[in-house]
Amino acid sequence: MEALLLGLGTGTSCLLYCGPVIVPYLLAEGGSLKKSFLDISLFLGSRFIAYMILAIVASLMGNSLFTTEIYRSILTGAAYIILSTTLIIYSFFRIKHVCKARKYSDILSNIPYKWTQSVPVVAGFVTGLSICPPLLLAFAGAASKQSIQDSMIFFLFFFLGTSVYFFPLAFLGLTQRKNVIHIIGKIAAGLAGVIYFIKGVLLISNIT
Amino acid sequence: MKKIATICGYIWAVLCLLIVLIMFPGLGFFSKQLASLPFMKINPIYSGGDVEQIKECKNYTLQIHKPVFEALIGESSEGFIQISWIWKDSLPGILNDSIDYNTDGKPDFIITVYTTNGDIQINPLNEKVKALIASAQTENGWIARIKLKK
Amino acid sequence: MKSDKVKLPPYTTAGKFWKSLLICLPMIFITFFFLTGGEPDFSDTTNSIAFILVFLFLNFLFFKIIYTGKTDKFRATGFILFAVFLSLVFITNMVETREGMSFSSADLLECNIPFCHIVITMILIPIVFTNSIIFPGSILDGFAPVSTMLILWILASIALGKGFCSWGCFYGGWDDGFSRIRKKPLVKNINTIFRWFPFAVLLLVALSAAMTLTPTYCEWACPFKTVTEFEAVTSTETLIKTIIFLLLFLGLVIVLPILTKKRIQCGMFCPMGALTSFTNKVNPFDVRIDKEKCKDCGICEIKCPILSLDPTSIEKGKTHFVCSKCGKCIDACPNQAIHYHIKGTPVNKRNTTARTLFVFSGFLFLAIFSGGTFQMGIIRIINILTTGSFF
Repeated sequence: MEALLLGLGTGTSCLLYCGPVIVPYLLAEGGSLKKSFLDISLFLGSRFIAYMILAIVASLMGNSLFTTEIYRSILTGAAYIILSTTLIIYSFFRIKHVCKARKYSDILSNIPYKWTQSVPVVAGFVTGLSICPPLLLAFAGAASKQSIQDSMIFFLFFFLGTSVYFFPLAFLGLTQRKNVIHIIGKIAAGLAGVIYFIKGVLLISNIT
Repeated sequence: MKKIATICGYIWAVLCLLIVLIMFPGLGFFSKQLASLPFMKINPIYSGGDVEQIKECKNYTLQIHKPVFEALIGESSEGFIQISWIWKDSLPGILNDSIDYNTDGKPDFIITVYTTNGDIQINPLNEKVKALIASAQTENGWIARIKLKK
Repeated sequence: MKSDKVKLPPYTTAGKFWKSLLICLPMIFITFFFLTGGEPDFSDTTNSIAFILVFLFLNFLFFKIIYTGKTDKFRATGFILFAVFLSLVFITNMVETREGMSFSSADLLECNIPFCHIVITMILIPIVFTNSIIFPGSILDGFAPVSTMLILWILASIALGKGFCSWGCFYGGWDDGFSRIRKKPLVKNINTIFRWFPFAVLLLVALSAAMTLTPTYCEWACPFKTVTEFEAVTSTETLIKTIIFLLLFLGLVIVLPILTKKRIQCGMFCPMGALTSFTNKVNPFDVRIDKEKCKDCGICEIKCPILSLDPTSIEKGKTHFVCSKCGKCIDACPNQAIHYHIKGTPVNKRNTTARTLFVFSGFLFLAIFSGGTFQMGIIRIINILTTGSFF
């Protein structure tokens, strides 16, 4: 119950922390409500896996995980770089609008379209692992539990509490003037990729 | 109908010209009106928060601000507290103050500022007090921000 | 003079000296009033010289706009010089008060950072949620306080729509200027998809600012820090930030505008431009294309500095909603098919009243907004030439 309330209480913050990643993708993909729900489910599913891993780690290592330099800088930084690569590739994927990009787009077009669904999967996993205030609170709560099972249940309820806020995002897929919104979404995804790349490099260089 | 639309169009266009005309002479008035709206205040992350305690010392006035745990929604688990010193006559060489920000009667940390070289030492007496995050000499004093955990 | 007359656009004022002068009279009185602050004082020689130069310069430009029927060349002259003079005055002020272009930790902690209109894109979501402004500036006091800049932008956007980006923005003159250096572009056929770039930047900037409660664009991406102020380099992070904004200025404001003859920063990156585009929906002025006169030569599309014209918009007979009403396409059209227009009024004809009302509003804003800066700049230039010091 404590975890569910924590999730419900901090879920809006989670939404904002993940917004720059998932919102451009949903705008770019759009299409139908069903497709957007599927994308959010994939995002949340991989986020859930990340939380379960954290639950196990929290139980084994306690609160010390987030204070270790390896996690704070190298692992998070590497995760950001993977996410940024995915977003940048996605922004060029099947773009037929820009002549210069078409060259890269043709190379990428050999990849099956379903590949794009890996974007919410990677995004969900990486944002699930990255440090943000709600996650710190959840991690502290889970670390205080006595068994791995209790820790996982804590994270499960935290996940359920935060997930409530993500489903309304599916309605972004219904935006009008879709072509324009898709273009803006794709560009924003690429730019978000660049931002996460810089963030990742800074973290690995241990600057921030 | 077309005539009405034309007349409305011209009226709106002339009003726009009038807006430009009154904008600059009325800038002070409009700015004050806007500034009086409830959302027109600097976020505590930047302003340092409201001053909660004032201590008068021999050479300076010490201001302890309200701890800031701002987040877009709710409160953040990490925040800071701002301490400000305002000189009375001249700059003291060393400032040494114990701060009790939660007013429980026990000091939470001791802060020492060596004003000659800008060095600052924090001695936490409360586990929620972490490290110095920013400090600067101002025109008539000194400001320091110390990281806090909730 | 005769051959000039033949080329003049068919406005009722074009080529008619006394009629043009009559229209300019209100501008002459208003600029005189604002430049003197309502209290003319010619006791100081330097100040008087600065006033006379600025007064004559601004009114000359406006007279030319009315008399020749051409807009862009004269607008751009004032607009570009405004950007240059603002940087000159700002930087010299910084050097005087802070002994350099960088601001210190004390300026940040004391909330002494001037607010600029681009920050508006980042404060909107936090205002809704936190009921406060996420910027280390002052609400009402000091130089460029939040409330004054907000009011200026709100009223200018109502009065000019996105025309603010070509008639009022004190940064826009930089890439407008650089985009005019070459006679012909080296990089042609820029895809109009790039007009959506600022909207993507706006989306990310608004979300990231809300997420971190920091003005992220100012911290990481604003190229105009190069010509105003920036955070002192005290760490590797601030060094990286400095490299980023210098490269963005070099790329988006200097190199790409020179190569493409487009306003790359304004039309393809600035989040404020994206936000201001929406104000075109409420503003009564727009730019229309007379389909009967249009010969589909495409010159307007090539000339448009911010990609607001393409075959689709030409087919629809109007510019895209990102149009900043600079007047370049209107001046360039060999068939005089493009014109300023007031919404609700009949289309497909060059209307002198619509043009006069818009250029009067636009130029009046530019003249009053820039007048003080021009005067200050001239005083500084006179000072450095006569005394060796700006002050």
